[in-house]
Amino acid sequence: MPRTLRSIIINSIGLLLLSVTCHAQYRPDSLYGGRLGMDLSRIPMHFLVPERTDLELNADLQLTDKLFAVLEGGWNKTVIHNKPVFDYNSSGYFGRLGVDYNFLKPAYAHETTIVYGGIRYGMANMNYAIPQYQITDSTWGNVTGSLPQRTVTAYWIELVVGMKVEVVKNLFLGWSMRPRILLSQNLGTLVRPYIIPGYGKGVNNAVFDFNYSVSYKIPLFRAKEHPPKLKTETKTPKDKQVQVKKTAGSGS
Amino acid sequence: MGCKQIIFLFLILSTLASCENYTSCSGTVGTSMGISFNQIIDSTESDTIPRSLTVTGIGRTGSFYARDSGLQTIRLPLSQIADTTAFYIQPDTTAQGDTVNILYRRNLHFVSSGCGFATYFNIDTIKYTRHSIDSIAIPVKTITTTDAKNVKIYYNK
Repeated sequence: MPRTLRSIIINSIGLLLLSVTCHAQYRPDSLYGGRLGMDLSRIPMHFLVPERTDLELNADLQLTDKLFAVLEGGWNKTVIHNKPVFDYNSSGYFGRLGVDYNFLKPAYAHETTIVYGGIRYGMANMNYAIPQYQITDSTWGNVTGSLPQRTVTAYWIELVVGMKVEVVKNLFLGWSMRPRILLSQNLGTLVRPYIIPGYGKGVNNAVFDFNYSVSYKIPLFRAKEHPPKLKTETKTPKDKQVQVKKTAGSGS
Repeated sequence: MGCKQIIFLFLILSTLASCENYTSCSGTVGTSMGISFNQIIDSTESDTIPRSLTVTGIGRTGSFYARDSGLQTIRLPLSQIADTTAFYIQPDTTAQGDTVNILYRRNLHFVSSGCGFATYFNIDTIKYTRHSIDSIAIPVKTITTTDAKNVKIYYNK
């Protein structure tokens, strides 16, 4: 599928999701705090792409009404068996550090829904090896070989756009779209790691990913509430006249 | 999580997963050396077509071309398990053939998990007899999966 078409489909579905999750409730009595969560999209991903096993956890801490510090981390294992052509295995860990900025103007002090944009700096450390490969050549003879295990560290930067909605008290569902740009270029002269944990396809210098996470907010402290100032009603001359008449009537 | 959201989630993942097939090969792994036949007449280069071309691989039974006519360019596979491959090329049944020995370096090139690896070659030099051949040029030294004309064989007039 062409990359552009794929991007359009993903973005369209993302917008649909936005409209669905917007129906979630607001909880004005919530407390500020940190959220611990997990990327749910990695669970069915394993069943759709059995070669990949991923785990991704995330945590954020609300710094201000608008700003969140974010830490994400996880693990990936990739095993590709395509005998006799190519066997590959890799495993490694990753971490991402960044901030999210809430674009949604809060209607009140404790509004919990956020529509955010953010940035991450990611790092992964992994091992990968090609236990066996074969190039079939019926003319001069097949080539067989293997490549020993290598350890590499990859760095990337990613942008994040998404939203989080509190569906029940302190429990959030959220999705995010994430374009990533690989900063490390010297990952391997012959074979680059096929899947970089936390990044995606290592053979591509830019990738796009989609996360769907569930997170639980651990209330740490209550936010200061700034109740809106009440407007004092000014009485019109007509009201005053009615009041005078009523007072006069009551006296007779 | 609502039912609709679960459906949307799987739709997204299916879309992403459909692009991730690790075992099917949609690339090209076959590499071969392109050879064109030429002549130089009065300092002017021109194409030539051997009347009855026979090409065999030295150390291999059978032939790549057997008395074929009408070919100005041919493609020959180089050995991926040695750094040299020799061919016997006879342009005509009445002409004496030549032995052409290609010396090269091999480079393993990763295509994809589905296709595996391909061997790319970098031609260092070509040694040849001069029974019918006048000279050989190597305009494109690197042999990849493209259809480049790597070698030009110039025949005597």
